[in-house]
Amino acid sequence: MKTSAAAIFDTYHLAVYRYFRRLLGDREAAEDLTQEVFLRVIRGLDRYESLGRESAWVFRIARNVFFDNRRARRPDATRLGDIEACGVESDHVLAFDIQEALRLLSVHDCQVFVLKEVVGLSYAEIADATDVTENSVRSRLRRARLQLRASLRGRLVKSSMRDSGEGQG
Amino acid sequence: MKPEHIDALSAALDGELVEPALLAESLAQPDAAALLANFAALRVLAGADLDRPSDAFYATMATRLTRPGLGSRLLLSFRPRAMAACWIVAAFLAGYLLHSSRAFTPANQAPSIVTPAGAPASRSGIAPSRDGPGSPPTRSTASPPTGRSGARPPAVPSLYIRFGEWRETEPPSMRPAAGGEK
Repeated sequence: MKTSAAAIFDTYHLAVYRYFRRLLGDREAAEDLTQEVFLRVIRGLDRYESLGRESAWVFRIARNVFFDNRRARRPDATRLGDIEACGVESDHVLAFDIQEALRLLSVHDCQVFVLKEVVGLSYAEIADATDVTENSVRSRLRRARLQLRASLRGRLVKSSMRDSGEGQG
Repeated sequence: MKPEHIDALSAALDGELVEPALLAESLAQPDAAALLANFAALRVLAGADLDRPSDAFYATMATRLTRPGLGSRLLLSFRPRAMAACWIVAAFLAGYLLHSSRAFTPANQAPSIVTPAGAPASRSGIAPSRDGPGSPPTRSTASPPTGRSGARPPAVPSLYIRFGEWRETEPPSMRPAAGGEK
């Protein structure tokens, strides 16, 4: 059964918008990129055959749109395989909010974290959307969570056990 | 805490499959509870304060979804028409070439023209020499009478194409009749 573009839009537009909103932090840019994603969806719908991984297909397009936009803004950032760290030792930097903390992550770790925590994709879907293995998804997610935990430790729930852990260190 | 313990706790939090023994071992780690609580708090923060797109966005997308881009629509509508046009042009071309080749079949040619020397004129306008069969042929200089006195219209050289061979000649009706050369 062929899925219509309108149905895909209805299902995913909010998740795609929030994905960009969280990655970019800018509402207008998020709307522009979301629009671009669904234009590509409309164009690619004839070639797409539903294999049960519709979400992965849509977010693979979203990821490509994100990197295309990133390259357009930063022509030097052309190597997608590179971990584009921001040059900050984030373990020692406190972020004001989650948006700021996400900027301290590498772009690939950030992608995986947002796809999991904001969009709610499974590991398999994230692996499909980002062209990596599930083990890579697990390790990126672990890295992102630990780094965010360190950056946002002032804003996260303080448990007595963590305090005791710091006391041990 | 080892990475595999953190991965197991993450997987449990994310609803993924996790090996029970490994999960039990991970939960037994000293800061497992704090880690889980922090990860849950991160999830809350990541999903918080996320607004919806503006009304302008929805208006634009409604237009785009109901009316795809002009370029793609033109391309899609033009493709079958272009194919049809190509077939029509090809059919005309084939018909023209067929007609041209039939115009040169012997059945359509005028009866052989006899030159004053008595030899039949060749179709290319090269007539045998009057000096005899052994002499080199000479191009026929015969031309029909022109002007008001002549019954025939002035000769108009026409160009025929026959299988890639270009040949300038006169229509058969323009050729002089037997003994017409003066």
